[in-house]
Amino acid sequence: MNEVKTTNYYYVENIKVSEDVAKMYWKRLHKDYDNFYNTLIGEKAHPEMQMFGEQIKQEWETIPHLTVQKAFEEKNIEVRRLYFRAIGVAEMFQELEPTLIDKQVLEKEGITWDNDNKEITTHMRDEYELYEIQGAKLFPEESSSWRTANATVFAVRCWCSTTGREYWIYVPRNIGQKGDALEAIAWTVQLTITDPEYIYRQGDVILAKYSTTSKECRPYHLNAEQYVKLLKAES
Amino acid sequence: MIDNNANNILQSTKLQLTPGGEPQKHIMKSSRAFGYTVLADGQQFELYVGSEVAVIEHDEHAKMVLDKGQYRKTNQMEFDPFNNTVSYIFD
Repeated sequence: MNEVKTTNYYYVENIKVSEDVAKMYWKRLHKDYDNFYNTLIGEKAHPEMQMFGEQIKQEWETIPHLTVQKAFEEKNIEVRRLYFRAIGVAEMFQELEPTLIDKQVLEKEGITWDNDNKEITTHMRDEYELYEIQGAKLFPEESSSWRTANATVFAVRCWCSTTGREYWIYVPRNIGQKGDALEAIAWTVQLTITDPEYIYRQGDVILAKYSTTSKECRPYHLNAEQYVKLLKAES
Repeated sequence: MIDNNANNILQSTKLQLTPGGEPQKHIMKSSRAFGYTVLADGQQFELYVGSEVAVIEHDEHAKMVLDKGQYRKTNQMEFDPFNNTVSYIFD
């Protein structure tokens, strides 16, 4: 008797994909099983979902690792888009030889604190680089030039001032197209109060101090001028 | 830790500012209680520091010291070009 293998399908980000694709995407996106379980299933999930989680747990180590190369071997553009999303910005930009659009150094006076929590004036120096990967490189089979242009991605590269660790952050196309690395890093700060006196940044945590005129407002992203003016301390 | 709900402002001497149980989390501490509220999105905080400074500590980053005043805590944002969404970054 011939063995018939049936394929299950799942909807991932509203795209119907095979079981193998879904598992590879989940493994790459969530990195470890506990993160996958806590994000997609959780302790309160229906018993059938718990069984599904247990099945994935058993298979986790054998699910193939999704690489940039594997993503490019995928013919379906929507699935490739999913793969790019799961792979993440750092690996995408490290492997795909992006184009450096702009590089800027921000140098200004800032503050830090001594052991008694007293302010010390310090010299802040940050480098920011803006990179681009053309849509035609990510989706070469796209026939529409409009779609190809809209598939171009931009990211700002920066370094933690404490650890020196490198970070990549995707920014929207309309920000990247300004061609200004400071505008790109400024965009990553979104505030919901007007007229802050200054901002502190600790890792990815932003603290905006109210001034006497600050009010609640709709979310807005900083521009380069505001970012340079407001940033007072970082670590 | 002290909690009360007067005027919807909670009070505490220790507060975790980002989600998750990772050891590197950003922790706000003070020897006297400070006020805080969690905004609707669950990630932004309103912080009220009194006469005693508050310190934000993290395993991998130098401390930040908040003196008297009101602060809005948020996180940096990132764009996802593959589904056109914007979300908070958590290190």
